[in-house]
Amino acid sequence: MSAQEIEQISLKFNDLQTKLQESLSNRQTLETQHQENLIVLKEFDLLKDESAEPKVYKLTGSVLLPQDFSEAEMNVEKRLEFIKAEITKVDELIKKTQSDLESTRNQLVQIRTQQQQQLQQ
Amino acid sequence: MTDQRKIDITQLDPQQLSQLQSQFESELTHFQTSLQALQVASVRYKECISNITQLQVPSTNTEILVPLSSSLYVPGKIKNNDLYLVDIGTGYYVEKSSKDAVKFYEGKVKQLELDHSKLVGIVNEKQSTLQRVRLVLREKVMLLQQQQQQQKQGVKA
Repeated sequence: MSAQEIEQISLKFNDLQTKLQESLSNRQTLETQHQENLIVLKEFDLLKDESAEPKVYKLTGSVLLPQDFSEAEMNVEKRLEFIKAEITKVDELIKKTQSDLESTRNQLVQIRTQQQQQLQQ
Repeated sequence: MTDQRKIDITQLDPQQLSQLQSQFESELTHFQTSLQALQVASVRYKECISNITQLQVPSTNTEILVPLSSSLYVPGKIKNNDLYLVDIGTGYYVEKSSKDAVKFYEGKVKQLELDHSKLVGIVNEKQSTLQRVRLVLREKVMLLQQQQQQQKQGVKA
């Protein structure tokens, strides 16, 4: 195998590593958003017991705008669905990147042992 | 995210062990920062509760200074000290009576305390595992050094 090819494989390995890091941090942000929205939805559920038409405001920029309770509830539910879909997407990407990384690592190890054998001979 | 596989750490070589050690160390720092964040949040919620109770004086028209920016205030009067807007997350604010607002914050504090004690358990567990990994690693390194010395002596003899 030529030095150029080996260089390419190790470059690919590094690329995959950064990609995995990115996906993992993405996953973490999504998880935080997921949790936060779940908390809001839970609070909405509790509000329904407290009063028939709870007054809800949405922070837009630096202004609080009144919003319909059912609309706010729907918004949060929709956002949760979206986040869940994103999470499955990122999870799949992470799995794929991990397996790619593994096979590239194996390739590199193989090359290295071959080189060592050649050196010993 | 945590790996549930059981591994006998005495079977690992020193390189793997030191990798494991640094992994546990970074996990531990991560958990410890989370622990601090939980404490900060808990203090903030408790402040909100005490703010509400402070305003529960019988007189209406309590005078306050309302911040328009961090350096500009206008005088104001509290017309209704039983109506609060509570931030419930993701930019949503809800109108609550003082009783309900306090209930909301107390629930939050309780939840945080629960999470806190759970996290403390995890941190303790991680710490003892890390301790074990460190111990085994040290033993392995010492053994390796002894072997090398013996080899050297063998060569000399």
